[in-house]
Amino acid sequence: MKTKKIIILFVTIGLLFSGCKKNYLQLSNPNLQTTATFWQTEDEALLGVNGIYHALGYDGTFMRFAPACLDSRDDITWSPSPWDAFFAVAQFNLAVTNYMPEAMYVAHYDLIKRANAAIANLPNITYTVHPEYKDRLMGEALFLRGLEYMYTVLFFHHIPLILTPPATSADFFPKQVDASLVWAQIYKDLSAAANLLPASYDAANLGRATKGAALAYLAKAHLFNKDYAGAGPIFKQVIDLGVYGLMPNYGDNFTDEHENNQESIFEIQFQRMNQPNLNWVGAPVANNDHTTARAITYAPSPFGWGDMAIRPWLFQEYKQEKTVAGGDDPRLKASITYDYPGCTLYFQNFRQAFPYAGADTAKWATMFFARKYENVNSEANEFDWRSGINERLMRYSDVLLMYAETEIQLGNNAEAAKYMTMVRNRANLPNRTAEFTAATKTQLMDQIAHERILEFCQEGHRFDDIVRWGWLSDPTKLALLKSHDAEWNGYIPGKEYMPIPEIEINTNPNAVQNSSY
Amino acid sequence: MNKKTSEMRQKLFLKACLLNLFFMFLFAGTLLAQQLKVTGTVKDSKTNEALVGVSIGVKGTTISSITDADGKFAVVLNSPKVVLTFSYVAYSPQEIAVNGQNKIDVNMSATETQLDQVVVIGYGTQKKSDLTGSIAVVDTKDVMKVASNDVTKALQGQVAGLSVQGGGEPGAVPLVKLRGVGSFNNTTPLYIIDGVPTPVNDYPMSDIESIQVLKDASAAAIYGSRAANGVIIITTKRGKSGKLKVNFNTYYGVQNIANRYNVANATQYQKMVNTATYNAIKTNPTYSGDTLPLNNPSDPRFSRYNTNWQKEVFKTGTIANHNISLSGGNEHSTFNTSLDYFDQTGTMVGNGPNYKRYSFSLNSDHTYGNLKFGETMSYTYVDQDLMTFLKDGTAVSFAVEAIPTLPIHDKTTIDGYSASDKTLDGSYSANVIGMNSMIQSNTKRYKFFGNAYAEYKFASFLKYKLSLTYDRSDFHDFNFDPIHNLGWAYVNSIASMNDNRSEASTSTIEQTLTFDKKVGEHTINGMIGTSVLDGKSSYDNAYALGFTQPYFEQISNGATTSVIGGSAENRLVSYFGRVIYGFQDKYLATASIRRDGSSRFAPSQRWGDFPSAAVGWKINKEEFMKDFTFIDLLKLRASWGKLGNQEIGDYGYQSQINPYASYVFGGTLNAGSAQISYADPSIHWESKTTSNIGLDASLFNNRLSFSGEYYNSKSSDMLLVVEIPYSNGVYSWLAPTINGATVVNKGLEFTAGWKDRKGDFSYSITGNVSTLNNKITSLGYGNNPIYGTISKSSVGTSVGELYGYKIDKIFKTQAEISALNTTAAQKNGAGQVYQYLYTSPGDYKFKDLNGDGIITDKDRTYLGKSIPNLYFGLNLSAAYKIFDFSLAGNGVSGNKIYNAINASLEYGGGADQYSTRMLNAWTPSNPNSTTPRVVMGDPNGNARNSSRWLENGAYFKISNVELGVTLPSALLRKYKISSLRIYAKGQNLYTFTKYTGFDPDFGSDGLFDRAVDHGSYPNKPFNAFSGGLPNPRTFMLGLQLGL
Repeated sequence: MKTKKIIILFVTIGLLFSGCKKNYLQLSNPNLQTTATFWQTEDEALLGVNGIYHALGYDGTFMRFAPACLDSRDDITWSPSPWDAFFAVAQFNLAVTNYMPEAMYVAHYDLIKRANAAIANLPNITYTVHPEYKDRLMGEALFLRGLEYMYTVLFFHHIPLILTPPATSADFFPKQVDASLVWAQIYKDLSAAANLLPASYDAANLGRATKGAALAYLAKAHLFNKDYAGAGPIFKQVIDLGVYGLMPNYGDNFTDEHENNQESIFEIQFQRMNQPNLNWVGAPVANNDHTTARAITYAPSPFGWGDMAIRPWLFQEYKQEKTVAGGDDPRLKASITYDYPGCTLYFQNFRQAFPYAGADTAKWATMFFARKYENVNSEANEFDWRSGINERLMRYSDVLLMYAETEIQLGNNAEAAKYMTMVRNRANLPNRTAEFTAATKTQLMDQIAHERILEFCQEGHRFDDIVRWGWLSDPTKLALLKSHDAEWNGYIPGKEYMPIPEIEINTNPNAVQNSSY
Repeated sequence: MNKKTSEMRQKLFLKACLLNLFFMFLFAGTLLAQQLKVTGTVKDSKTNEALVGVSIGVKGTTISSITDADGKFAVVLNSPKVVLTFSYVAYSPQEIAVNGQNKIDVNMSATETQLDQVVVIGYGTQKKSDLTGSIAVVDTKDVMKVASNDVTKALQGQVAGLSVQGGGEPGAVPLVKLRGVGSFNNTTPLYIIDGVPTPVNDYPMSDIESIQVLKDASAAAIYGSRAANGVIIITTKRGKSGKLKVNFNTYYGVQNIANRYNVANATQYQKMVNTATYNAIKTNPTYSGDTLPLNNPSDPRFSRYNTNWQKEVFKTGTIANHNISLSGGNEHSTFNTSLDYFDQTGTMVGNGPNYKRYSFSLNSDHTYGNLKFGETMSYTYVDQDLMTFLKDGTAVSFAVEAIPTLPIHDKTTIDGYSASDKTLDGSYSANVIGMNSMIQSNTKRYKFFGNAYAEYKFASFLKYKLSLTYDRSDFHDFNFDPIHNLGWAYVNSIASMNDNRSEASTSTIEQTLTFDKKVGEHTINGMIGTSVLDGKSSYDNAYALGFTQPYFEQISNGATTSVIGGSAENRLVSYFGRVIYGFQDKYLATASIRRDGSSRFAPSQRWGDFPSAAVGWKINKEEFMKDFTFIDLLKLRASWGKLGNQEIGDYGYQSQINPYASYVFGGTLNAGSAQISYADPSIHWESKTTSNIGLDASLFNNRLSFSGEYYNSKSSDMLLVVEIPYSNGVYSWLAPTINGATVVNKGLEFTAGWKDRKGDFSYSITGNVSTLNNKITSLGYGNNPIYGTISKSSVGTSVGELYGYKIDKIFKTQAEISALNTTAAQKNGAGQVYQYLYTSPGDYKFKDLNGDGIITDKDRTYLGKSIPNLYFGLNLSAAYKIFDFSLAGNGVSGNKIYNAINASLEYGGGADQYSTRMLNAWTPSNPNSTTPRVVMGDPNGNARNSSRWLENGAYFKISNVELGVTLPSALLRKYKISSLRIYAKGQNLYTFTKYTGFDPDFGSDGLFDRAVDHGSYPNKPFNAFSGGLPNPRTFMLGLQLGL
């Protein structure tokens, strides 16, 4: 009996300390690949580069805030929103804690982070099945990084220039650099990209960065730095690629038909998938949709949130010239929803949609809303939050007018007039080539400003134009802006840049706030 | 259809329970019968009452018996020269030599003196007077008086050093913290139910027998890796040998939200909004707005409604609990089984919240020679409807902030509920009744808990125990969002549905070998053991979009559907040992060590060692104390130990590639991948070192008891998600987990009690007070502070210390502002202004703390603590003949609360609802007001984070008042009832506080936003937001019946 007990005792002690298998505690995530095994194959190279494009679709990038921020700050668009993420931006009265700059800052750097990872890892991969990936993928990554640095430096001005993935946690706290260094990198990335990228793609790859896109943004970067001599030939190079042309119908640039058309140089791809997760922020999930919230944001209440509206002077600007046939500029009705006979939006007559009574009917004449990128002809309203209309970030007409501007600055009026006329012709406006050729630089710059308003209203260019043209330090122009849009009364020097978000200031001891905040 | 299925499920469930009960009776049945007979009666030595179910054994044999309902017993013996043993729970055991007697009457004395009380410690038990660590034994009698879905709510105010914070939503899970903020990721203590770690939420209170709170490192170190937040040990009721006992307990109560915010009526509201609009037009040229039609008397659409939303939204809720338990057994087998039903409906109109819980538990213990074995099993089914709302906020804050100019119902809209309109009223107001009535959000939980053990005694001093546990929960979350317009910011034009299923299970194998022996004046108790844990979870979430009316709420009926899913696993391997040594019952020492390996860390960081040591000295046993006979116990104890924490997500040390970064090319979705966040591969155990010194005393025949202690704990290498700069492109909630902080918590804890009996009158009073001093000593990357909504936690401050601007005064004239602007431009450049460009008279002047002539975020400062520094609890009870009375209260002080609802009502810059306090806002004709002017858009930032809405968070709450009547047993015997008590009680009756919100005791995140009160903390289970009801005031009646 006793020996039996002792045997049992030893067996149990043995049992007590019989450990588990050596690797029992070694578990790997069954859902996701680790970074240690990624960036090894050609397929992963493609996945990694596709993943950069994905970051174009966040709230802080082009799903909503980048266009909303650019437009609401100009003198065309104003914000009737009760949310300070919109109205405070439009009134140049941003608190450093405002949500819009915060969401924009992180989303743009998210894209830069993904591009940096690709740029660091792509050279280590051998391409055998798809030799064409080698240059193209690197070109795409460099293009996207250059593009994002351009937007980020224009929004925030004093930013860190991060070009490699962080090696240790010490790299999490970058210092800001002078904006000129960021621009130098933009030149570098975009010109490298232009040399690596193809001029066009097959149908399955439409939407990828092209040589033309890289050149167009490279030229734009030179223009924004007043390097007209540098910019001119590059714009000309885009034109001479011979792959672009203007769409006969201007309005075809803003609907979900005719996407990736001949006029489109770079376009953000959106598509309705009816998925639950709208991918506003954070980590992508399997059931992300790929839509933009621009439509619901710009659509007037009760069809959308009505965060954006248009100042009436834009309407007058369109009315300044008749077409050769004596009608309205066709871009007017393609760009703005307003009270004219036969105007419908979301299958409703304008006056039925806004049923004012009595003296209030005078309001109809003051109401102007966005029509570009709105589903006014296909949906009852925008309240499923999903719009699949691609955002045409760079159109060929922009290249033509920026090229014209460059030539005006260089004194080549005839060349400028030629390309201005090309854009005017599409709108059936009278030919004023001779008049333009004879005009002074000042007159032509004012004319270019007029042409750009009509061609690009609410496409995120007007505010950058104003800054580029030096209007902010020109009292006459500043007065003009204030007369166009009372929100401009809030402008004080320095407010053309957004604040560095407080979360960056709080977490990064090296971060310095922009002056005037 | 849904309802039917659920009823059917309930019926099946009941059937299963009854079947189980039947098998239990089979166990409990037979008694043995033999030859030589001894009879007698066993009584309580003090009360002279018969004791039922006393175990009688015959030494050296397996013969045994128990006393019957009258305390009588009979044993048949083989020899007249044997010794009978009498044992009875909570009574001192006795041994009596038979010596030929055939009638033996025994008087047993209760050991209810707390000193001899046996306390459950980790992997063992110990006499309370021998404890060397800091272990609070909760008076479960007091705890069980609280009606709650969660036992932790009932622990509020009962234990010095234990902080319980939480709202009153049915099914709410309070936030429990022991001795300050010892961790930044999960501060929940480790709950051990019957020796097994498992969550305590959804656990029926009626099954609980005892609760012990292990507070210091020496007590908790045996749970090493997971004990840093303290350990709460719960034992459930077990069967006792004796006749079958049936207990039936029931209560029913009504609940109401007692407080209201004072908000404007329609006329007042319209006046405020119009003034704000007028002020904006006058002083802010960038503003382009008009008097809103609903507020414009000359407009035909002018609103004449005057809705009191708080009155319409809140309703009377109910709370009910019915419990029946059966227990009994013989000397070989005992069992306890119970059925419990808990039902609480919320105090808000609409689908939710409500919480129904059905639970069944069964345990039994069996002895066979030297082998003892048994099991604990329970099955719980929870059906909970959540209060629904959309976007940020809480349902109560929506209710308070709703504008009075809208009706509740509107027949002209698509859903029959009124909706705010951007152009008509310009308010973000949401129809919260519509939301909670139309949007459905339901969660069901099915939890099985099963533990089986076997214990083998090799000798009287050596035993081995094997314990196997399987704990599994299944979750089913349902959400349906129909087409609706509940306000212009809350429009849904496409109906959608979520149907999410998930499961989580934990399997544990534990083995211990225990040695327990007294050798002369030495008592030695040694224990070694191992534990292996495997936790698994997985989920499948289905989603459908595009339902047509009438709605059939099934995934298949959506126009498009999608499913996502995933799984995770974690493992823990542990070795542990402990020695408890006593000499002369005077000097006590304990030492323990545990070594844990966790799959959550990289191989090189995997293992952690958690040692502890403690000593105790019973001073009253010393020779020089022998004259102080009134001292029953005077014990000094000191301890030191190290605890761990590994409660972070799985796989946190590995950087992952996210494969969902897809993008559309050529109209087709192309897969894409991206590294979204960074991981720190060097993360390792968080450790907490605690020193504790305490004094326990018991005097005057145990009538007075006192315990006081001081602790100093240091949590190092605390695991937390530290935001990295946004220039890394990493969203704050995706930032890496690092070992990034050191926090010191120090405090004094005192518990004292007095109890006495004078004839038929008995009474007791116990109270506890504890202090807390919380201080961060290192933080994040290079001591970079962590910011919350209105807090900044940095080295030298407490966690969640409030931070913002200081208000100087209200500007009365433009001249004052212009003078400051001139200085600002001189010091900082042309165009720069002191505050904002459109600062006007009536706006706040904030203090320029750094003196640079301009208000920037550098002018913020610390404004107070969000963690209370003093906690107190009080229990009074008295009984006279058949009547009993008790009162409990608790409170805190030293903290401030950010009244977020007031902040919204007093924003003064929008078209949402206004508080009545704003009626006194600054105007040129009311120039001495301390409330700033109202103006659309708040262009001066009067509502920025400042001391404006910080209120004193101190309170004392009468949490429970109860009056009971126990019917005399003589009366009941006729009906074969052994006991019957009826009681009435009030819960949360009154709170003494200066706080103006619903309740200073509210749910929060408990860390950096602890002070932020939205009415209570919202849960966000999936895409519908839920939660956040304040604690209700409750009146209830109850009955306790014993057969």
